[in-house]
Amino acid sequence: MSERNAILVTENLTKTFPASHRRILTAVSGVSLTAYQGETLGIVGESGCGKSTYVKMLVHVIEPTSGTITFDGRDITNLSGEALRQNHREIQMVFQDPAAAFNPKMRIIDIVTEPLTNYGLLKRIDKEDKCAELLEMVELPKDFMYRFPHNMSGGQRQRIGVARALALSPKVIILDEATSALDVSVQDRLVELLVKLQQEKNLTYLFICHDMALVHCMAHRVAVMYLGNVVEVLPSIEVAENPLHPYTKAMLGSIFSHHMDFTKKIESIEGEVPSPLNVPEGCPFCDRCEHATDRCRKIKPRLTEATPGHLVACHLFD
Amino acid sequence: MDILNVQNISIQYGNDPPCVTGVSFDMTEGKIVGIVGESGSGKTTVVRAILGLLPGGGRISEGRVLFNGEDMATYSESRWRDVRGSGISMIFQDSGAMINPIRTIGSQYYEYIKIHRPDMSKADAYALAVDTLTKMRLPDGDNIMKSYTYQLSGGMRQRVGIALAMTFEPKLLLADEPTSAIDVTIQAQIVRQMMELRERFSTSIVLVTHNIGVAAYMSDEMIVMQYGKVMDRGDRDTVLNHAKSEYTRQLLQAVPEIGGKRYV
Ligand SMILES: Nc1ncnc2c1ncn2[C@@H]1O[C@H](COP(=O)(O)OP(=O)(O)OP(=O)(O)O)[C@@H](O)[C@H]1O
Ligand SMILES: Nc1ncnc2c1ncn2[C@@H]1O[C@H](COP(=O)(O)OP(=O)(O)OP(=O)(O)O)[C@@H](O)[C@H]1O
Ligand code: SF4
Ligand SMILES: [Mg+2]
Ligand SMILES: [Mg+2]
Repeated sequence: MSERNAILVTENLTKTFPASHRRILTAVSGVSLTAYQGETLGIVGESGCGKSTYVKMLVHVIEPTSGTITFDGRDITNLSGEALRQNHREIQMVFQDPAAAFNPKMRIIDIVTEPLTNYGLLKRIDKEDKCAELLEMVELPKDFMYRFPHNMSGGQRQRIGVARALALSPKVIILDEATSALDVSVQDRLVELLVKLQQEKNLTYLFICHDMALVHCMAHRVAVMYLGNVVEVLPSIEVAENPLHPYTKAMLGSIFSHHMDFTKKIESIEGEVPSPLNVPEGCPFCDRCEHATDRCRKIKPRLTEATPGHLVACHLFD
Repeated sequence: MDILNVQNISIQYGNDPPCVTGVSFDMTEGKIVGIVGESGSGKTTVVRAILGLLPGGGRISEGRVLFNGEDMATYSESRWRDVRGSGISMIFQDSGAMINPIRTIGSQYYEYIKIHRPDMSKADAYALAVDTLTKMRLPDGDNIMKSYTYQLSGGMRQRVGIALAMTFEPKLLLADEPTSAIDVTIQAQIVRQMMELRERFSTSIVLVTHNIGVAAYMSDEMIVMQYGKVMDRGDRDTVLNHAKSEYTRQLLQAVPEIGGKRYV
C-alpha cells in the first residue's frame, strides 16, 4: 500500500477565532491528516469539535491560522487568484447547511449547473439536459429544476448540494453531513452511487458524518476528532473490532439501533462539557475520561501508531 | 381527554396536488409519536400544519386538527400567539435558518422569553436562557449568548433551537429532526432530556426523525410515511417486526449497522 498517492495532506493545521471577553477559541488544533487518492476518509467527532472548520480550510472558505495544506504534491495553503480558482475545480464541497449554501433567489437548474457555467464548460442549450442528468443521479424528478430551494424538503435540498458537487467531476469531494436529512433507503442508494463513482473515477471523499454505523460501512479509514484534535485514525473495519481511544469507545456505546435493548438506560459520558475556549493543557478528553491520571492532565498525548495503520493519541497506548 | 387530534388531514402547496393525504393520529398527555419515512413524504409538512406555520401557500385542504378538543382552524392570530411557545413549541428541521443571523443568540433568546413571560426580569431571563442552553450540553452558555449563528457549528445551532423550544416546558413538543446534526453522545443526552420533559411535565411529543433507532427507543406509537400517506403504524414491536407494507420492510433493511452491509 506504500505507493498510494497522498492526494490531500494537512500538517499541523490550526484555526483559532477571537471570542467573547477577549478570549481565544481554538476550533482546530494542529491537525495532521492524509487522504489517499481513491479512498474515503471518514471524519467523526463531537458536535463543535472542529470538523467543518477543518474542511472549510481545505476549500479556502476559512483561512488557517497556521499549518499547511498540500494537494497532489503542491502546497495550496496560500493560493489566490486564478490558481485558486483552478484549484476549486479539483476539490468540491457539499456544505453542512444547504440553506446557507444556496442563493435562495436562484432556481435549482442554475444552482446545480453553476460550477460548470463558471468554468465555461456548459453551453446554454445543454443546460437542461445536464441538470436533468444530475438530478436523476440523486433521485430527484427532473421537473424540480425550476423550483426554488425553499420549495423542497430538507432531504431534497441536501441532494441538490450533492448533485452540484458532482457536476465538475472533481478529484476530491468533501461531504459535510451530506446525508443527514435523508431517509436510510435514499441514503443507501446515494452511498451506492458515490461508491460506484469512486471506483470508476478514483475519487477521494472526505466524509463527515454523525452516523457512526454509516461511516463504518462506507469509509476506508476513519479519523476521530475531539475538541479540535485528531485523537484516533483507524481502518474502518477496526471501528467495530478494535477501537482504542476512550472517546471512540464512548461514541460506539451511545448508538441507537432498532435492534437494541429498548429497556436499557441511555448511556452517555458525564462530566463537564468541554469548551474550545478552555482547552485542557494535557489530554483534551481528560475531564471526562474514566482512565485519566495526573500525567493525562499535564502532558498532551501525541498521535502515535498503536498497530500498523492505526494511530491513537492516548497515554494508555504510548 | 386527548391533547391533540389530527383528523384525516390532506395538505397542499399552492396548486400542486396534495403532498399529504388522509393522515390521522391522536395524542394523549405524555404520549410520544415517532414519524419516520421517505425524504419528501410530508413529515415536515404535517408537523408545520399542526403549528399553523405552513410556508408558501401551504394549506390544510381536508380534515382538521384539534388542540385540547378545539378546532385550530377557528383560532385567531392572538390565540395562535398564545399557543405557540407555551402550549405547543417546535424544534425546526433547519434550526440554523430559523435564527436571525445578524443578531446575537442572546438578544433573540431574551426577546423570546419576554414574549412569553413579560414580567420576568432581565437577569432572570438571562439565567433561564443560560441554564437551558447548558442542559443541552452546550459549552460556555455565556459565550453562546454573545455569539452569532455563523460562529456556531451545525449541531450547536440545532441545540440552540432545541433549548428555545424546551424553555417553557410545553404541553406539546413538535420535534422535526432534532438530532440529525448532533453526534451520538450528545444525541443520547438530548433524547434523555426529551424523555425527562415527558416524565416531569407530561409533555406529549411528535418526533420526526430518520434515525429509526431513536424513533423506536422513544415512541409509544410509530408512524411510517411514504408519498404523503401512512404506510404503517403501531407500537414499536408491530412496526419493527410485523410491518404490513413493503416500504417499511425495505426501510428497516437499509438502516446502516456496525457489522452490517459494507459498501467498500
Ligand atoms: N466563524 C467563526 N467564528 C467564531 N467561532 C467559530 C466560527 N466557526 C466555528 N466556530 C467555533 O469553532 C468550533 C468548531 O466549529 P465547527 O463548525 O468546526 O464544528 P463541527 O465539528 O463541524 O460541529 P458539528 O458537528 O456540530 O457541525 C465551535 O466551537 C464553533 O463555535
Ligand atoms: N414550500 C413548499 N412549496 C412547495 N412544495 C413544497 C414546499 N415545501 C415542501 N414541499 C414539497 O412537499 C413535499 C413534502 O415535503 P416535506 O418537507 O414535508 O417532506 P419531509 O417528509 O419532511 O422530507 P425530509 O425527510 O426530506 O425532510 C415534498 O415533495 C416537497 O418538495
Ligand atoms: S490520555 Fe488519559 S485522559 Fe486522555 S483519553 Fe487517554 S487515558 Fe483518557
Ligand atoms: Mg459541522
Ligand atoms: Mg422534513
